[in-house]
Amino acid sequence: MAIQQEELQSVSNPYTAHAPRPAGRRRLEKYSMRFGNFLLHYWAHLITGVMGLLVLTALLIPFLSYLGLDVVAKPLFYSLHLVCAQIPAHSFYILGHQLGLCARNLSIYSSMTFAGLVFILTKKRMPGLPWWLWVLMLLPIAWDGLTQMFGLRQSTWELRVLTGTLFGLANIWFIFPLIQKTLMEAAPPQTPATR
Amino acid sequence: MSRAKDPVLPQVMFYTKAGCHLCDEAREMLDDIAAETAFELTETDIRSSTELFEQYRYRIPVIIIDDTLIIEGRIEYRELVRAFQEAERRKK
Repeated sequence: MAIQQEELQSVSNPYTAHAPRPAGRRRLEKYSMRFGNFLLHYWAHLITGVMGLLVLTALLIPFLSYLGLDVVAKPLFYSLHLVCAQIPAHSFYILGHQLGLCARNLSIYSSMTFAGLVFILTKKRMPGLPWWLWVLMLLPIAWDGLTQMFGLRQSTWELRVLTGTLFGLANIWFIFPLIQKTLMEAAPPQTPATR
Repeated sequence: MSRAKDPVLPQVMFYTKAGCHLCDEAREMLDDIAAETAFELTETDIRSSTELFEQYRYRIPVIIIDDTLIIEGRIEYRELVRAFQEAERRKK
């Protein structure tokens, strides 16, 4: 706090202010500040946008394949392998072509997009999920995924969608309000001297 | 890859379908392996028969080596190489 006050005084007092910084550095600082402000205001939009883009791409791939546009569909399909195992037996098909994401991941990213949109539309005022409810909503996917991974049982598409949706909703509902709260607490006070 | 029937070579059945991206990837892997290992390849489009289509539509690409080793879905190159090594070991 004392350091902050000292900085404010040095900026407002021309006799104690530091020597002018080079123009390039000032420009860099200005753009960094703008970028920082942009992220501060639009972080939720960006994350939701990326999730939405993943879902949209996954849905678009079978249509592109159906239309014979494999030149586009194939690289998109392969790039989605970065976020999904794309196991054919665990995936949905449209017009006979596999979607870019498996059923579980499709429901995770769709529900995350949906929850992100709700968060944005409520002007980031959505109350956060209590941690115990968050954990509770993650348990079904852990049980479904792990028991299947260890070959104890086979899941169904209904369970993959249900557990994936709960997982996606819970994460956004818990994490987004938490991020917003942290950012609000960490944001510097807007005083005339700093503007 | 050999086109002539040779009982000594591993017999590979490859079930595929046009427009299947994973199948294209698996086909490239088979080509890579063919550069080093000889095998007899039979490629079948599952749409050629209703029975095959029903059996493999949600599983392709499916590679069956010597009627016993089955690899399907998202096939990893390492996994495929191991299957070929296993097939060779069995033949000895």
